[in-house]
Amino acid sequence: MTETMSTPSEYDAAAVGALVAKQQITEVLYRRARAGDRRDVELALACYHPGATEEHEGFSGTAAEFIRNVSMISPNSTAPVIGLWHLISNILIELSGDEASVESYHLAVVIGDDDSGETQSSIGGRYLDKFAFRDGRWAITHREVVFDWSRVDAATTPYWELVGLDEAKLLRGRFGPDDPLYHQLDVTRGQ
Amino acid sequence: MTLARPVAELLARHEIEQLLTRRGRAADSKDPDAILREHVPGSLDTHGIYDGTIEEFVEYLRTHNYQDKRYGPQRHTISNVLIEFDSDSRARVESYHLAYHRIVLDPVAYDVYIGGRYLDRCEQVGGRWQLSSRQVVYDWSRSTPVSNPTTLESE
Repeated sequence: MTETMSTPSEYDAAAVGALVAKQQITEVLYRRARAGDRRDVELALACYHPGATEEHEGFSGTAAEFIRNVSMISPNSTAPVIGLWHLISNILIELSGDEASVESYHLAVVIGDDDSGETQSSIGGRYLDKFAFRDGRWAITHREVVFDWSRVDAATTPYWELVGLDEAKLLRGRFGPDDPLYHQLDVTRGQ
Repeated sequence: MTLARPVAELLARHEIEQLLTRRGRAADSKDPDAILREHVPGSLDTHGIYDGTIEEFVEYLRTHNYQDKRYGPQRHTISNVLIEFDSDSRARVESYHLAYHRIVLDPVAYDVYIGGRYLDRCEQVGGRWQLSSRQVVYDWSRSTPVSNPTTLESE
């Protein structure tokens, strides 16, 4: 690191600890987004503590039940969805010992494909999460999803077509282990 | 001086996030030299526009993309930065971007949004984190004719 860095002992240790906790909580939010967008059930489950609960689009129950059987990443899902993308921002974390209340914003894009053709749904919403530090890790104990707005549009001319790029040369996002994240960046699923 | 591991990692994460943000600014200001500063010399940049070394890519941008009147203002918002450290000075990084491009075609100009991800390998060289390779993943895109062409200059 650079020579201007001070040792932690020069700061209030609790303040530095809070910063580390906030970073770890932030990463859980990003991993939960990655889990949905890549359809990685094990990774999604790993973002919660055992027994965690979720209120999500009319569902109210355990997070594990939601992920395994109800959500669009469930292997049982019949939703005509071919792509998901969740951008997370505006993360506000209120720490209270080994618990935390966390609000984050998401901008989600859902690519649908059914008889009527390809659609793009855009959704602006928020996650209201309770986190706890147990067994050496921060994870979600309760998640509520708030939807602020949404719109559904028919697919448009893609960017690459508009500017004449060869789509075959582009890396495209995918559900599952075929996504470039795994074969280009050697990231392991489920972790 | 030794930092506790979580603190050292926190600092490294912050510096890598700043690197990604600076790289976004360099692209959006269409500044080839600023782009080059964020990459390890000779490293690969795979955008699907021009695939080669960062020097070749930047030269392509300078001579083609930045001279091409079709390409108007652009903007890249970066988020969801997930970092895996392979050592104190090497990391693999996924980040999300929401890109905006004004594409000026005749007779219609478009507002284009692209949702994608960067898959980066980063190295700390001489105390500075830099990109040693970048690949761009395209998740979705959306183009709509501009609502009022006069509200935003095309160049």
